[in-house]
Amino acid sequence: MSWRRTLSKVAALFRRPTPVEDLAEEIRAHLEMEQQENVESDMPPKDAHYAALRRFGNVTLAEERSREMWGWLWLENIMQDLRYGVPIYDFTTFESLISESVAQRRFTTVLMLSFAFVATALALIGLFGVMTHLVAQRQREMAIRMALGSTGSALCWLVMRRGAVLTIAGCAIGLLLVPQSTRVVRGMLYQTSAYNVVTLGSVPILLFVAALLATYLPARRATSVDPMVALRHQ
Amino acid sequence: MPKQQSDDRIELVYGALDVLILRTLLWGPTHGHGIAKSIERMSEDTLRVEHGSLYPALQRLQQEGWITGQWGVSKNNQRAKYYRLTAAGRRQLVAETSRWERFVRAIAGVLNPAKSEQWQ
Repeated sequence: MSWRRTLSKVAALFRRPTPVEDLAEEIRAHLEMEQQENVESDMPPKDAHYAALRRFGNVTLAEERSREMWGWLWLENIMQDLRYGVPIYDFTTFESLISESVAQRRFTTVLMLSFAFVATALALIGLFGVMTHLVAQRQREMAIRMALGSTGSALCWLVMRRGAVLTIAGCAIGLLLVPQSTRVVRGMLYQTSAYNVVTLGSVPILLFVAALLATYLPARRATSVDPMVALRHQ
Repeated sequence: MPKQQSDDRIELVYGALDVLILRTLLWGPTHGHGIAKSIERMSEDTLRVEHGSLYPALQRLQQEGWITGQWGVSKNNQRAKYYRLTAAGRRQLVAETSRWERFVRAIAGVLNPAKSEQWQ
């Protein structure tokens, strides 16, 4: 490659438009002339068109080769970037870009979620403990009731009713407080509402079941033993 | 004009197309199609020039500064890019012509020693 060609290639890099910008038009004109000439030599127009194309060869390839003549592709790309003033550094994928932008939110959400789990678990354990304790306190009373002729199932029903009433009252108060208390987290909710039926329904049910179990198990134990043994126990 | 693809057509040697284009432009400025037609006519349809291969060559010659291109209107009122030989192109054509003549003579000498001596 002579120095002149190198020089004109370099010059072409800075020139806008590049010398091959009008190449497509030039080639189209060429094909039209050839077609016209074929028509003049008594060829049907359609055949003339295809004959011209055949004569020309691969149009895309010719364009590409001509374009390549004017530069070094990699350098061209760099120059284009420079022209538009877009410095490319700090390569990153779009995915990680998004992931980075939501990292803080995600952290807070995960933290809140784990707190919520722990809180629910603590509530269940606490409820269970309180109910068990309440029933255990009434062991003497239940033994006396048994001795006076009450049946085991009637006693179970008695304590469980009390536990159920307390739990339902607690859940009702909790649900009433939902509109106020969810204000804090509403901004963090995504694709769900603060009044999500599944959440608002499942937590009271869980608490209710825990309360029933917490009252039923000690009550059964208390009523299954001989009243005299229970009375003498303390 | 017969357009059959006869097999006795000859593919161009590398570098030959450049000098043929320069030679064609010696007649005056013309467009890509005109150059292709001229080459075919002058070689009596012996040389096979795929028209598409002219365009990369035209770019190369422009870069060397041997030809310049400019848009114009043909006699059929069509827009076309006309190529013109520059002074440097003329010098190049002279140099290349003598180089090709030596090349042809050398090949002929190798292929047919007796005859070539006769010519000299």
